[in-house]
Amino acid sequence: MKKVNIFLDSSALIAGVLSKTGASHTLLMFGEDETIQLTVSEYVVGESEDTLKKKSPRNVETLHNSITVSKFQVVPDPSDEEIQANLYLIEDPDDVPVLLAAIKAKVDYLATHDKKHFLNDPKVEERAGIKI
Amino acid sequence: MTTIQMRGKGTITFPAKLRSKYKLQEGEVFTIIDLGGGSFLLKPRAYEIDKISIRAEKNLKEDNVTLEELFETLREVRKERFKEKYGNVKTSSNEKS
Repeated sequence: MKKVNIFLDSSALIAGVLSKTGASHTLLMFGEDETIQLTVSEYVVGESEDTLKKKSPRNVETLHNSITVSKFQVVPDPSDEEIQANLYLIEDPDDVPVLLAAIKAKVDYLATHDKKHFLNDPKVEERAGIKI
Repeated sequence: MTTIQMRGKGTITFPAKLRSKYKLQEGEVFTIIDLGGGSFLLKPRAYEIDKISIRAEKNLKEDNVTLEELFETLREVRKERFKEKYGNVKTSSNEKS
């Protein structure tokens, strides 16, 4: 049976690594025991790293260890042309690289803690064709 | 479906049928996952990611940073990275400027 594939937005990745309680951490546990497949993009890893460098530098290494232990697949970022053609997907253009990487990776779900940008507009899910 | 009862000090006996089916022995380590709403999932193993996150939570507490603060910083970082990596993309905001 095909494993459920879940793309983690940076907020879900950071929460899963830095908080042992909560749904995001449970996803990381299921990634470790290979119950599910976890996916992130280079963009997600890069901005999560930058965020931790600014606020909690010791946890940059923790982030990398977690990505390995929970067996994440890291997918490449969309090109400029792909971003340009898909700006309609979500209101803030800054979120397009993440959403588009998830669509291109053909994941089943996108996990995020960012209600304001990803969840408040139900059309985002409809346009992306992914459960958020 | 099997019913089990909690006894003194929270002890519960794992049903013999399941112990035999999954070859679970005395000393086996389980992880309890709280699914919310009073439901739990019991997994017969310890997780490396739990150890990593315990360390990470400790680091974060010592750095005096909350997850909410990290999420705010993340939005700023996302804006900066988009400009750096996708500066050639024409958006309604950079077309105005």
